[in-house]
Amino acid sequence: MNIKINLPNNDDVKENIYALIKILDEMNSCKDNKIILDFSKVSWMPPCCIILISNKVLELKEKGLEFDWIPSSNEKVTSHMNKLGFPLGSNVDGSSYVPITHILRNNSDRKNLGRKISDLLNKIIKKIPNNINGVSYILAELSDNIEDHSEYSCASIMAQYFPGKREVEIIVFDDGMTIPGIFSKNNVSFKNDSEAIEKALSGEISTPKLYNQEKGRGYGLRTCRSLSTEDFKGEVYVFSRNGVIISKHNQEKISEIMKSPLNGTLLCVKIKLPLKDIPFYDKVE
Amino acid sequence: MEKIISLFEIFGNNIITRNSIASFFEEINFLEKDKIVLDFNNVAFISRSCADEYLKQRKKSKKKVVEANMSKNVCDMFSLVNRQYEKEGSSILIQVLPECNSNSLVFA
Repeated sequence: MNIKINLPNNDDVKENIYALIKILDEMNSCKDNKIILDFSKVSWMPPCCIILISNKVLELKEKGLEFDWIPSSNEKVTSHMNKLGFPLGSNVDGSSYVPITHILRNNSDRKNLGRKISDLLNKIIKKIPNNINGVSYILAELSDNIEDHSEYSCASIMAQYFPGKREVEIIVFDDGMTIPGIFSKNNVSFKNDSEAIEKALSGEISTPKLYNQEKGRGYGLRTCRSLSTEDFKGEVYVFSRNGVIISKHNQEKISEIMKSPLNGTLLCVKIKLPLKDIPFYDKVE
Repeated sequence: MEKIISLFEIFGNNIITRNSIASFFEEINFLEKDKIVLDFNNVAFISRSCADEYLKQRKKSKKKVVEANMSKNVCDMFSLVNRQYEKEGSSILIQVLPECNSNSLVFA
């Protein structure tokens, strides 16, 4: 089955993800034993899209599908995709980026995800000039949520530093239950999937009936968002099932419902590193 | 008699994910020795979730657990978690008084 990749060819995260979900659905519906992805018309692909397609390719390969791809006629795009580890991930990091790391769930080794994230963290903090604690905090908390809540099969993570813009981008995707799915499972009410995401970002825990055991929870996403958008003046994108929440520094939050669901949760955090370290332990609530 | 465990040998220089810490405490709770010294030497960072889970597991454990060689960064994360519990008005677990000079946690 040949699938043409049609994306907006710009940097707009939301536009790209909306377009990509249709492509992921096509990949899911493939009845052949081979998929060929045609990137020939792609002139730009943001990292969040590369990571999503990579995760889907890995999922389908695990199910026995063969995979191939037609690279973009734009060599820079193909080179970028290769460097970021498309599609099966890579151990070779670049001077300013840590490529896609896929982590398959391992129930017999509960320290596995932590070790992989630790490796990734060690690599990215070598590439950034300052605010190591802030970046570590964000990456660690986003990753912890995958294991703690999502019942994922495969998680995909990458991080990149843009020295010219002094920006760090962290992207985390899991193919698990989704935030609304977890809330439904635990009888936490919500009007729609975006409201579920907003509740999670505001610190609502997924297991309120266990509150006494759950004290000290609900801080991860909440503090990641406030740290990213207020202290680091950045942006946080969350796509989970049909919900979308986009939070940007000094801008109104965007809350939308997607027509087609994303089967999993994608978090994309972009932060601007100031010239000096922010007093991290004072800033975090 | 005590058993000294290097957390760096178990986790590396970063301690990340609640599951890792929960799994670790399950293992140490099965050890023969009653006193366990957790050596934080070379541990540069503990995530907030891990620090929270560590304190919960530490309180539940029947072992006598003592920390050693905790870096300021790690101490600061435990202090952060402590402040968050104080804001919640909780007295279940914490007042944790990190005494970074002696590199140990003290539960009040």
